[in-house]
Amino acid sequence: MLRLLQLEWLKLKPNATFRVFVLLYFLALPLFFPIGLFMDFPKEFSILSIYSFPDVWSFAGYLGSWLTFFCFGFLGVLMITNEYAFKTLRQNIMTGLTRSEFLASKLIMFGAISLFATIYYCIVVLGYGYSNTDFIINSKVLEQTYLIPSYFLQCFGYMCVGFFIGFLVKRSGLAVFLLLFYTFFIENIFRQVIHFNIAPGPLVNYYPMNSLEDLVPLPLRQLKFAQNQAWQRDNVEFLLTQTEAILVSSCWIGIIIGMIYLILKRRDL
Amino acid sequence: MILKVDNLVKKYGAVTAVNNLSLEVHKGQVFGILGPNGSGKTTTLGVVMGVIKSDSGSFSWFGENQPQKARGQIGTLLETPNFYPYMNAVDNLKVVAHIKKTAQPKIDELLEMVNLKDRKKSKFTTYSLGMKQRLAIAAAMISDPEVLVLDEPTNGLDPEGIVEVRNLILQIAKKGKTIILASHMLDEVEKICSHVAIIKKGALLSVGGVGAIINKQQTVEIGTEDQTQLNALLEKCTFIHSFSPTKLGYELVLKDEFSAADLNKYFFDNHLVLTHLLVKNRSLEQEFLEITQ
Repeated sequence: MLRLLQLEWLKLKPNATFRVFVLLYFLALPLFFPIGLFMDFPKEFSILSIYSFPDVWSFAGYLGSWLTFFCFGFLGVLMITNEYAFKTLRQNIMTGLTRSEFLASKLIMFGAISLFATIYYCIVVLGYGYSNTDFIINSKVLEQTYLIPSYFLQCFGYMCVGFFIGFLVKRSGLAVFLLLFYTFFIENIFRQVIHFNIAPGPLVNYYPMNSLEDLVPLPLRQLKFAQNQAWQRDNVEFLLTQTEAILVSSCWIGIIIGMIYLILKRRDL
Repeated sequence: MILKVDNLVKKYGAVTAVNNLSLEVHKGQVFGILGPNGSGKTTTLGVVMGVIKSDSGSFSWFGENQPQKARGQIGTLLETPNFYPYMNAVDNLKVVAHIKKTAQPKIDELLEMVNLKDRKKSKFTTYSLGMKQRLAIAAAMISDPEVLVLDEPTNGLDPEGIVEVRNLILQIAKKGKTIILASHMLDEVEKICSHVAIIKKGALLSVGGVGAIINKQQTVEIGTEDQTQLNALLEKCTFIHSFSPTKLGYELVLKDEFSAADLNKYFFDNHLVLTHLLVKNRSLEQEFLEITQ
């Protein structure tokens, strides 16, 4: 396992795009965080509270989920489209790597990157939380730490989705376009318009990107304004619960990895 | 036994790229796979190197059925040199060594062998085609493998580069390594290989030692002002296989191991000066026609 992680590190370390994405994430998470000060929040939502425990976990997590999507989701795309563009996937296999090892080396690296992204998220949250909370109560500090594994899973999931699309179309530009198009248009239209109108029910929320997004949602559950009128009328929850989100997105990640594995085993390189 | 290929078939839709191909490569051979572009050379090598799935047939390396283990012991250069363009030569070779599980790769030594030591810290993307090709040969040699698989190793190189790469291959062959070399160039196979398989449209036409398969007779066109003396000398000459008249004089096919120099000397010694002497390169096309007939 260490050997495969080292192999991937040899490939990534000198890669300029990788460095830029990592730098972007490390700078953007703490620097974009004060954005909340300029956002127009409803009265129930005190601006002060999003920088203090426990809500700092969800707000930083929500911001971080955008960053992991753009930085590491795209990195997931490039980590496979590059191998196709340079024909190095083919060369790696000829050199002696097995197809399973190739896939494993990518997944292990996704795990490592997600782990570092999550640790950094915790550091930022603790930093902001401790400096902005007037009365530190341990139970409040720890109240939303359930988001930590979700944050990890979300980052890992985004990387897998990016990798999957890159793996299918092999070209980076097209893959990035499809990733954005699917995430922001196709799934939403299918889910909220077509599926909802035909069969409104909890399954509407079980789509891959939606379940990944709901792992670390903006803390709107308690806010009435977030509830779409139609959804309320049909008694459909707007968000998945944490448990649901973890289960559903784990299933999707499993399905995606399984499909990549089966295609990779059969494909001519 | 190094490699055994049994009734290999690979189809791309309606096109049969490899058609029932069987081959055997033995230790120490420099085995050429000769065929025109699109004859299935690369596809065949792609199958035995595990990157292309065959439709039927089988192959085995080293008499075992463990293709994945075998790939670690083989150095490969298929079609183009494939490296990470943003990495320098040393880092690229490190990746190869890591996959090969080579504990202490002799990276500097290899780069010296392929004459890239001065540029070892330059990014791969800045290399000329010849340098890329040479780096690929260094990469293929990194685990000091017993077998090298090279596909068109001189493709796209300038004459100097071609000579360099060919000498490198001969140098490696001298160490007793087995080399499998695909090429569409007859003279390349002739110069480098000990054995050759000729394939066309994915099917094997003939296989054997290079001397037995490729005709080594040279074709020379000559002309002179003294036609009658020429005719007389041609009749007497002992190393002419056959001759036929052309516009400029005669086209001669020399017997094995004789060259145009022998011919020129023969005429000169007999006080006949040639006004025209042209060594004709036999095209692969002609060679194929002869072999298929």
